[in-house]
This record gives sequence, C-alpha cells and structure tokens, in this order.
Amino acid sequence: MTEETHNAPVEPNAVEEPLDLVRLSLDERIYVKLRGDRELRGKLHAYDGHLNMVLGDVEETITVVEINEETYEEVIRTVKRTSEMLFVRGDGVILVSPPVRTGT
Amino acid sequence: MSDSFFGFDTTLPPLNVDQSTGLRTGEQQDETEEEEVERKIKDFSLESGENFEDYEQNIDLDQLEEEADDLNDETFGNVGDIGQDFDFTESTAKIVDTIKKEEEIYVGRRESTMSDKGEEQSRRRPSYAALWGNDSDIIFNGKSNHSNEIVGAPSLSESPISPSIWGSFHAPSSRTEGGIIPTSFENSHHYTPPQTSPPPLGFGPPLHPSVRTPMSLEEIEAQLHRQAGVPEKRMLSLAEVEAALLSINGRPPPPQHLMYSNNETPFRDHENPNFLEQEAAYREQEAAYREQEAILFHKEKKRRDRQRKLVEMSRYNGLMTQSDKDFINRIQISQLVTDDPYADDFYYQVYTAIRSRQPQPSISTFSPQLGGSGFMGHERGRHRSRGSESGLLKMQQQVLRIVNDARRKPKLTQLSLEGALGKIALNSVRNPRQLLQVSSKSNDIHHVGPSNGSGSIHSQHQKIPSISSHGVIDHRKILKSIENVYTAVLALEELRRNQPPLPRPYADHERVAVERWNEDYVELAKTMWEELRVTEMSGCYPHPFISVLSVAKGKKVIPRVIRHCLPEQIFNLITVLVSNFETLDVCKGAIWGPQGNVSPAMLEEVELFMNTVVPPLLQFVAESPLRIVIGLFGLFIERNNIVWVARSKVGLAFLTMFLSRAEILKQGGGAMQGLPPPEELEMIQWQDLYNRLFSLLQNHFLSLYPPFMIGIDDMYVWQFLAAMAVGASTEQQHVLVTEVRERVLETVIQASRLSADKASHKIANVNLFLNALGLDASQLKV
Repeated sequence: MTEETHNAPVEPNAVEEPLDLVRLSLDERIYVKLRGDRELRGKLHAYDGHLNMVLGDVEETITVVEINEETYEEVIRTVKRTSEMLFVRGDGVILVSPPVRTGT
Repeated sequence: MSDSFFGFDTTLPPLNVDQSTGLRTGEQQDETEEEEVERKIKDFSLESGENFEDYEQNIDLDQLEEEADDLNDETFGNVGDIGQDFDFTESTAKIVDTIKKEEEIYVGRRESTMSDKGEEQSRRRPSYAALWGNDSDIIFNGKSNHSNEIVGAPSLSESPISPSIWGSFHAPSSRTEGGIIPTSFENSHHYTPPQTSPPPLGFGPPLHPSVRTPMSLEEIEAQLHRQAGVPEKRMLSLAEVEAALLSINGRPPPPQHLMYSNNETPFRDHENPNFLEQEAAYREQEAAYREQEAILFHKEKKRRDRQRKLVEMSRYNGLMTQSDKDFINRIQISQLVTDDPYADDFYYQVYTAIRSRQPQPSISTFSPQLGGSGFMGHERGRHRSRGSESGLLKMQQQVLRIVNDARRKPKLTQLSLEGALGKIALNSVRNPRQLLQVSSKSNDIHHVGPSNGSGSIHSQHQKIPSISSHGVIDHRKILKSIENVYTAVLALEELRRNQPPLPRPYADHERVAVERWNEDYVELAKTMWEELRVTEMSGCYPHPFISVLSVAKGKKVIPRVIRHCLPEQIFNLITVLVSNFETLDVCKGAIWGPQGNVSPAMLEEVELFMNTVVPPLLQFVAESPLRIVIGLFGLFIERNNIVWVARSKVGLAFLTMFLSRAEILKQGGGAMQGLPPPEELEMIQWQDLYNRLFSLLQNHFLSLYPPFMIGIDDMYVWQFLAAMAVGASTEQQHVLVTEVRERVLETVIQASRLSADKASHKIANVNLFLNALGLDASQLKV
C-alpha cells in the first residue's frame, strides 16, 4: 500500500478500461478463446481496439464435435496445431486472458 | 538533319545529283509537295502526340516505277497458285492504313524506350505514357524513325526493281522474319535527304558512319539476314535471290537494324497479284516455314490487338488537364500523408531505417515525412525517360505541398452540410469508423485529478484479492509499471526526434521552444525513472525494480531507458541491481545444479538479460573510476551469496565485468579516459576485495561450470577465470590451476574429437584462461 500512495501522482494510466488489461499482457503469453470452438495460446505481440492481435509461438486448439452416425453419440476430439506467428482478426475473439499463473 | 524532323523542312536538303539520277524528273516537284504534306502531318503529330507517316504518298510514288518489274516472271518463275494460308494478308490489307498508323505509334514508342529498358517495360510504357500524357518519348520516336529513313534513302536510286513490288514485298518479310526494318524504312525513302548529312545522335543506336555507297533495300536486308545468322525463311530466300542477281555495290550495312528486331511493322499491300503468285511458289518450296509463320501471325495478331487498344486509349489523351491530374493525385496521396510518420507508419520507418544501413540509392529526401514514399521509390525505378523524371519531380513537390497543407490544418473528422440533418462522419485511413464506444478516461466514475490513479488502483486492489492470490496483483502492478515505462520511453524518444535546434541569439521564440522542450524532457524522464521503481524503498521482496527486470519486456526496455538516464541514475540502478542480485530471476533460476536443470525458457531469459541489460551497464562500468568499481564490487560480495550467484551466467558476467575493469584501472588504463590513476588506498581496498572473492570461491571454481556434457558454451567461465588469473598472486594462480586442471584437460581432450571449427573454439576458450597465466593449450600433453 505504501508504494501505491507513493506512486499515485505518477500513474496516469492505471487500469481504467478493459483494454488496459490487455495491454499489460503485451509480450506475455496469453490465452484467447475464439468463435468456432477455437483456442489460442501464444505470446501477445500487438493488439488494437478491435482486438485484432498478433500472436507469436501460437498453439491453436480446435475442438471438433463429431456425431457417430450409428449410435448418435457425440465424439469430441481436439485438433492442435502450432504457428510461429499469427494474426487474429478481432471479430472472432470471445475472451482474452493471461495464462494461469502460479504465484510470482 | 536532326532538327529537320520537327524544326524541319526549312533545312531539309534536296537530293544530290547522284541520287536523283535514278529518279524521274517529276521527283523534285513531288518532293516539295510532299514536304508540305509532311509538315502538316508532323505538326499534327506534334499536337496530338502521335506520329504519322505519309503512306498514301509513298505508295503513289512507288507505283510510278512499276516498269522495272517486267522481268520478275523470268526471275522468279511463273507461279499460278496462291496458297490458302495467305488469306490473312488480304484481310490485313483492308485495314492496312489503320495498322500503319498504329504501328507507327507503337514502334516509335518502343524504339525510344528500347535502348535502356527490358522489353516488358517498354511494352507497358505506351499505356503509361498515354495515361499520363507523357509525350516526351514520342518526340524521341520521331527522331529515331528519322534515322532509319536515312539508311533507307539511297536505295531508291539504285533499285532496278519496281518499288511497288518491293514495298509490298518487304513489308511481310519484315513481319515474318523476326526481322529488321521498321515501317518507315520502306515507305519514307522517297523524301529523305541524302546520305551525307549526319544522323541525329543519341536516339536509338548510332548509325554506322561508313555507309556511303548506296545500296538497294533488298540487298541490305539480305545481307542483314546473312550477317545475323537468321535462319532462312521464305521471304529471306527471295531477298537473297535478288541479292544474288544484283551486284553488291556497298559494304555490309551497319548491324544496328537488328536492334529493332521486334519493332517491324506488319505492312501489307497486295496490289500486285503477280507478286503473290511468285511468293506462293517460293512458299511451296519452303513449306517448312509455314508453321512458323502461322505462329508469328498469331503473335502479330495479338500485338495488333494490343496496339489497337493503345490507340483507343490514346484517343483520350489530353482529356484531363494537368490540374485535373494534380487534383486526383492529391486525393490519392492525401490518404498517405501523415504528420507523424513514426507513430502512424512505425514498421515502415523501422524497415527503411534498417534497409538504409545497407548502401542503396536514397529513396527520397522527404521519406521521413511521408508514409507513402515507398510507392514513390518504386515508381522511380521504372521510368527513366526525361519526361517521367520531371513528372516524378512534380509529384514529389506536390506531395510536399500536401504534407505542408495537412500540417497547417488539422484533419476534419466531421462534416456538417448546410440543410443536412446531423453530421457526416468522415472516415479515413487514420480515422476508421468507430463501432465500439468505450467511455473515455476523463468521465470515469472516479474523481479527476492526481488521486485518480491511486483511486482506481485501490478499487482494483479491493476487488481482486477475493478472486486471486496476492502474487497476481503484484505481478500486474509490475506489468503496469513496465507499460508506463514504455509509454514514457516512447514519448521521450519522440521528443528526442523533434528536438528543436539550438536557439540563435535574439530569437526568443526559439529559446522558448528549447526551454519548453527541456522542461518536457525532464518531466518525462522523471516519470520514466519513477515508473522504473529503482529508488523505491518498500522493503518488499523482491525489490520492485528486480521484479521489473524479471519480466522479459522489462529487460528489453532497459537499454532504451538508460539512454535517457543521468549518470547518477545509472549508478543508482546498478547499485540496486547489484545489491539485490540473487533475487533476479536470471540469477536464481539459472543456476546449474548437479543435475543441470535449467529450463530452455530460462536460458532464453538469460540470453535476453545478457543482450539487453548487461551491455549498457558494462559501458557504464567501463567508464567508472576505481572508487565506484570498488563500491559496487564490495556491495556485490557483501549482499549476495557469491558462491551461489557465481554459478549463474549473469552473476559471473558481473564479476568478470568488475574484475576486468579494476585490472584495467590498476594498469593505468583510466588515463585514456581522463581519469586520474587510482590512489594507493583504493589499490589496497581493491586487493582486499579480490582476496575476499578468491577465498570465497576457493574450492568452488569447478562448480562454476555448467555441466560438462550438456553442450552449453562455457566461454563465460573461462573469461571469468582469466580475469581472476590476471589479478591473482602466484599462490592464487597455483590454486586456480589445480582446481580447474581437470576441466582444462577434459576440454582439450573433447576438442580433439570434435570437428576443426568447434575444436578451435574450445581451445580458444581454454586459452583465454591459460594465456592469462602465461600458458597455452598447445603446451599441454594430452
């Protein structure tokens, strides 16, 4: 707490809007949930107000639901692939979050 | 002569006696008449930017000499049958006039651009010229055509065969033979001036000066083919027969016609059926070439189509005035113009900066001001001619003007028209339509003012603990600090770029600008420094600055931060770093245990630290006097568990840094930097510290190495040992050698099994240490 009061006058850009939180994750690994049952995990290089993003070292997970034609059972399987660099168009983004962190 | 084409007429010399003997008496009158027509046409062509030749006149004239073809039947045999493949020529003949004109334009343009351009470009050229009203090469064209006429000139006087035949004969030949002679060659000879006047230089290939003796066109052509080694074709053989019939009365013509190999015109004029018959006869004898001809015809057709299109387009030449074009340019370019290219076009700027390190033609002087300068640079490469250069220049000036305009008045984002309800939002590249309305910071729930920041933090603080652990908040605070540092650094860099020039005396506004700039700079630098949290005495663990350094982007920003730091600040920074060294992630996380468990991710972090944080600090230390080195070194030993820290690469690097700097200063290296030689007391202090370090590390030297077989380059350890060895006393050296002897031998043995370059690297590493002791690896007996 003490540092905060100390810092107060020089912190004009505190977290004031949602995108500020995304900004904190720049150059960090993040988790992105996308439409179409897709998930991305990668390092956030850049983003904009539309949540278009450039991710590096991305692992993409696609969840595919297949219905067994005979038993009508749903078979869920995931397809994974990796890309060195990925441009994510913002209109597909549902969720952006930092990866689960364990302590500091 | 060179100016006769456009200034012309007045200087056009009459044919000399020699050459006019072969001509009929009416020639002179015709000539003056022709000049009249020619002048008109050329005036017109100047105006319209097109280039016409007077074909009708030529053909009329040619037909006057028909008597000479009496012997054709005897010469070539009487052939009755006309091959069907020849049909196309008849259809061509119908539109021959149009084609002629088109060809003139096309060929002319190409000729003018041929010499310094690839074919593809020259093909494209006319359309560009047509669009941009760029007439300069058409002027060239006229001249180069003229030079061809000169070559053709004398042939008329000597030719025993009717020009009408040969006129019609040669046109197809030139088309089919990959060949040689531009249209004007055959068709303009009757009015061209004598050989003696020199051709215009500089347009197209230079003419051979030695062509003096008149030759017939046919001979020239035939010889050309033989010289060029062009495979025989139907028309060629005909020409050769002709050439054989006649005595050659001149030297081989200059080979420059070959330059025009693709420019010749499809010019057909089949008014003489007799000739067609002969042609057909020869065709039969040389059926092998028909196929080729068909292909050529196909190509020819394509090309003609293209030419027609070009002419179509050129119909619109001059429709737009220059100001129209400027206006459209402005509309287009204004989208690219920006006040702040570094922010709006960051990646391009960086790219250009990197590229410009390699030598290359400077793109343009205004490139930092203009986002679209790449476009301009690209254009420049393609168009060489004078006209387009000046066009480009115009464009550049225009762009500059636009940029200045844009500076003066801020961009409109809204427009309200009279009588309209509401406002129209103007969207642009910079200002896209907004879909999402996020409330701006100022009208937030929190009170405005300096307390705003802390207020929102508090609210963060109060909410979050319920949902996450304390560590997350700390981390988020660190991240926020780093972001703020980046913001400040970017603003500082921006300020630096826009630094006002030094004020001139008595220029108050300049002085004010500089003062203002200084204030801004100091203010921002202060913000940056505070956000770095170096001087925070919070007592929390780890120190906030160390936490900043434990994030990759925190490491990355250090070199950029230090550029804006005062020396005291750097000293502060390094002090904090040294005294909290063992809490650094790259120190505590990158210590080789007995099992060698350092994750690849951590190795990357270590590399990053070595490449970003260490160099600026190294530079600072490398300029410090011994007093500071002693202070930092003492602190380093005091505050950290040296035996442990030294097992990390960064820890060892810092030790090496201090040791080597102190050694340099001890040996008087500081004199070059204007530092006084170290005092006696300092030397003693240093020696104490050194001995302390040595005794701490004694019996642990071997543990400094990363595990032997793990494939990590251990050069940094050898460097450290070398730095230790230089300052060591004889006994200490002995201890050193004894402790690491095993490693030395292992490495040398390993090197002997490796490939040459790897081995030499290993040996060089060992030698770092051994040389410091006055030894060499080659002295070792393995």
